[in-house]
Amino acid sequence: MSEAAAARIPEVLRATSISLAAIALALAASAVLILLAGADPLVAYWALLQGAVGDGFALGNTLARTTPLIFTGLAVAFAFRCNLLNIGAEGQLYAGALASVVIGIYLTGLPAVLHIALAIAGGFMAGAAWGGVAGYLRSARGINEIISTIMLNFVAIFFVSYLVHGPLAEPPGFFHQTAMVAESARLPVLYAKSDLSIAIFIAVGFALVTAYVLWRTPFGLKLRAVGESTGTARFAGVPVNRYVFGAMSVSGGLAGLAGTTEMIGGQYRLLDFFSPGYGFDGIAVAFLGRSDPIGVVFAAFLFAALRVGANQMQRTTGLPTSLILVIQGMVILFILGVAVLEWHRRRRRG
Amino acid sequence: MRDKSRLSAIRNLLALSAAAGLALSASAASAEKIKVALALPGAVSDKGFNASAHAGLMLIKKTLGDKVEVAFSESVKRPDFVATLRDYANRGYNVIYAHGFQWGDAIAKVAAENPDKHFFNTYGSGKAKNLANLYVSFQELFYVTGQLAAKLSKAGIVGAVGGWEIPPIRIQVDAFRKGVLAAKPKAKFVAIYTGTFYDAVKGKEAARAVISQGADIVAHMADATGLGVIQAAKEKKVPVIGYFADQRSLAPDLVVSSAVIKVDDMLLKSIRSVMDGKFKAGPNSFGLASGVLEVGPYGPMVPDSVKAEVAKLVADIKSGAVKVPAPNVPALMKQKINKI
Amino acid sequence: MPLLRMERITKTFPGVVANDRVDFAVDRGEIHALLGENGSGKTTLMNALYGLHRPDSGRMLLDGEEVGFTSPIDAIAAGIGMVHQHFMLVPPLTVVENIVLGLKTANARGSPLLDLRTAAARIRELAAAHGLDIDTDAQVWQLPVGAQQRVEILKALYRDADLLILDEPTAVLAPSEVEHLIGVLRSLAASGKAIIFISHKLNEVMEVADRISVLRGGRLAGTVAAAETDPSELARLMVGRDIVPPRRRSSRPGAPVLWIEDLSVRDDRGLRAVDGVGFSLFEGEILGIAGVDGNGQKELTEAIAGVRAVEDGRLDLPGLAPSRGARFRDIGHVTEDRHQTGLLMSFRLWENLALKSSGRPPFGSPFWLRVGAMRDATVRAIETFSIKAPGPDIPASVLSGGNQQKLVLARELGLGPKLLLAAQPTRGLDVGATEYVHRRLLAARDDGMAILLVSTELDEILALSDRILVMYEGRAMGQVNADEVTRETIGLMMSGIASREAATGSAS
Repeated sequence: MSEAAAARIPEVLRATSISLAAIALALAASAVLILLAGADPLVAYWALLQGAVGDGFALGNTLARTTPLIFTGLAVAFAFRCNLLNIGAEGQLYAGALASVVIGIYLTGLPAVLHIALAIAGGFMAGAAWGGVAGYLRSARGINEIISTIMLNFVAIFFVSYLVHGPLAEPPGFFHQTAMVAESARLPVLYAKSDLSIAIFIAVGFALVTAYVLWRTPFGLKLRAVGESTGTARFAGVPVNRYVFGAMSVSGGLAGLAGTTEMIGGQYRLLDFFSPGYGFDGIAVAFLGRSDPIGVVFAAFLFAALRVGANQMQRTTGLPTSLILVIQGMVILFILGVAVLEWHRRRRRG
Repeated sequence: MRDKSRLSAIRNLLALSAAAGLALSASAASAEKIKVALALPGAVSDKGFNASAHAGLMLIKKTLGDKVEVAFSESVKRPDFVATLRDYANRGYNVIYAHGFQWGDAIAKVAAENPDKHFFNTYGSGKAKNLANLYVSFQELFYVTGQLAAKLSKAGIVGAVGGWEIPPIRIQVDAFRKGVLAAKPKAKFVAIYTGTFYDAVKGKEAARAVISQGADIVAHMADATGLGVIQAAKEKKVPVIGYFADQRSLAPDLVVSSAVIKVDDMLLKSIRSVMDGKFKAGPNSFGLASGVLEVGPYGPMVPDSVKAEVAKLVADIKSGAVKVPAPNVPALMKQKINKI
Repeated sequence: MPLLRMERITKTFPGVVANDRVDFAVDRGEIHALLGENGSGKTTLMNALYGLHRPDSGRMLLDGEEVGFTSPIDAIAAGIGMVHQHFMLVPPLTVVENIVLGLKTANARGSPLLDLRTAAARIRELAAAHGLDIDTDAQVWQLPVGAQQRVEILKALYRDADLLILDEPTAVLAPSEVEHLIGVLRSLAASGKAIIFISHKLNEVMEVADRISVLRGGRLAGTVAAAETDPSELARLMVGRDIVPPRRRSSRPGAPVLWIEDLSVRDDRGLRAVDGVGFSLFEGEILGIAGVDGNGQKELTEAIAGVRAVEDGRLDLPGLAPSRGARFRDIGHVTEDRHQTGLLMSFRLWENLALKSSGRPPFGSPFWLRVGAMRDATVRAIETFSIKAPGPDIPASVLSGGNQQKLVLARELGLGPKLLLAAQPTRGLDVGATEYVHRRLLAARDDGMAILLVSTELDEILALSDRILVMYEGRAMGQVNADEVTRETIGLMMSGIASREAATGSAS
């Protein structure tokens, strides 16, 4: 390990303890709401913890949920390293899911390894194309990527909706869903009790690759340079517009893989509105993970644990789902609030 | 009022689960209780699709009382389908409902993992030895209401306003059309889809359009969008056929009858099949004969002769003397429709 | 009694004692210069006075009363005004709007509405009294730098400042503007204001100040009366040793590296900034581009560097690589603005150093970076260029301005370019660092590098250049041989007076 990496360890510990403190604060605040709703906060939180990591089943569920959040978190973090705010991970996820499902259903008779590889490549490319549209609009036309990605979300999500209601609907067409992807395109299941597939390893692998690309390749260095200062990058000979386009494309590709792994790693078929907002959670995950690919992995796990544990809490306590959503929202707000404060503190000191 | 009952239900649940958790051995008496769980893709407060299934669970609780213990999860997202159902199975729930076709894969999988438990999926198509898919034979009821409408129409022009053009609604509108033509082969039928279940303004617009084409009786198959249809009917003084529940209270002078769909009753009937040992895996259809579907109470303007004709038709369908053909969904979905 | 007395001010930051028991006092009607190298503690001391941070110990007396400010708002209320090096103005607002911005008393009689007319009248009064001519209705972005500075001064005066702090006020000004500023400051002092003039330029403080306090390494090295000292004593106090200006040997020009004819370039606003300029540059010589800031020098160097489009004319770089990517490595570019176009402030030193040559041996291939090689090269650069840095892994923002500039220089010279564009290479640098940069530039020239030196400092141009081109409003006013020209001639040309007789060299 390099000196630089070693120096980061106390910083990581510090950041982790701050995040945990934020969660504790949020839970304390939410306890009041739970009491008002007539439940015992301790029982509720115990259920949350049990539901998130209590046993193999719970942990498996959490890890399965971690997978797409790693990808969308990486997507947002990658773009943010180039000073681009990709709000479109959700739409890119749908694009990736669509491509992977089409490959999974209609390309048959392939060996599993090849079929899976094609589905993954297709998902990445479709997401990259969708992110690339925003990248092109930004680099060639100067259109703010925040606005264009938000709009492209609608286009992708409703285009998928249209397809599953008609052209891609599973014969005979009674249900608005596609057929299931072929067995050969499905990722091997790791832990059948919780549907955890090897997608989690693929996600962690992509996080490592992303970290390598950002910190250990000339492409990553220049991309981050564009993110830090367009002026400096331009004067150092970096073709800024091409890097903006490239960063949005890769970002879109990573988000597309969230759709891919959902499709070939567990859901196996495409329905409209199949994502519970992974793309938007990815923004918070990236922020909490400080736009660092390894940080994103941990942040994604934390978010997944919160989401999965909250579902368990709802089933155990019978609290209304809306209240559960409020509690989740409060935890996220506290975590991000503390993260932002910390960020400002560091800037002032820097 | 609804919230109050929800809250008390929650309190009961809490008390129950706490008691169960404290003394597992002492629960010998409650071991004979059937634990019923319901998983819903949307909010129970949607006054439509999800609310109807939730009402079924409440009906089960009310009717079977101490014999059952109930729980439900609402707004479950697709990635959590399997985990939610598995969790209920793990926690000893032995009759598990999932509402909506989208649960098909998940419930078939969890059913196969838990062969000692019973699973129901409304409108589903998954396959397992202990999984029953519950269907409503909409075509029977709407064929009848179609005939009713044709018999009451003086101009021979009947209108209908549909919600979102998904298969069940297409089936209902088409069966209605067939009923109209069966009663009056020369009648004209005008239908418009609104593409939504939640937009009363759009419903009103659609109804006006239908009425302007000469329809002197209008039916709707559009949940809350249909409230707008009834509004338009009131403005134009046109008789209207209600949907889902008895809707006479919305326009006592104009609602001739309602196509009543009792999803709650379907849930109660299905759980009785488990208790009576008559559980049947695979598709379970509920039509007029089951009582899940019925022609609702008539308004004062309907002549007794028409009532008698309709009653005979219903009896013939129940007995099998008249067969309403099952819909051919793919062909149906390909037909052109009017939309606003 | 002095207006301000600071006694034994001590301020430490983690690992650094920025101010160590500093005593400092200013009288009414006095211009007191605060002299010191970058990092000597001038800014820390003034920030303590201005309420930006609190000293660890020591006390401050204003008019004999002990004060302790917790924010600039307190300091302003107590009659202290500060003109920062980077102006705190809102570009799209007018001069009046900028001056009244943030004031609750901008309106008359406590009305909630802005009374800009009354404000403008008072501003014009203040301006006339001290020779601060300004168009009160102009939008700030339209104003030249010197005028923006006058807005900052007026802002302080409008808030009834008795004590005015000016942080490196001449760094951004042309020679004529400097003279104007000095006149203004004299007038202000004569009216009873106390003025603290922060600078690291010896000649300048000798000219403007009544007394001079010199800081070195956070401590007060001495306070002297301007009339009783000379630049070499000040330099000794400031640096701790004697300064010997570098000697320039005569040049031996080689093959042409840059050939420009009738070149026209537009600026960011689409206006023609370079208008039909022509010159050539050969190996082993330094061509100085003199001129007041904003006369097209920036656009000219950017066009040569390939980051700005050429509108018209010929721009040849004979002997340089034709491909765009390689050209960036053949041309070293010390840019005018380290923050915006020179460095990546939050990036590590080694990332900054390797930015232009990453992906190539010895720093790796297109697919990976050899971090070890990059760090080693940075360690060497830290030694060679005597950059004050604990190691290659710290972010560039931690370095002082002078050391940041050395880092830029290390990167641009490290590539061994055939052509070096040095735009304001010593702006904001102290005496020691300036001397060092000058030596490196001359050494590079002697090794055969072609250097285009853009500077608004006439002394720098005269000290380094072999030939001098003067630019005024985008045009070349003439080209002169550095050995055969006087300060005065160039000064005239910088103000737009083309003197055919003065141009002893061959004007193109």
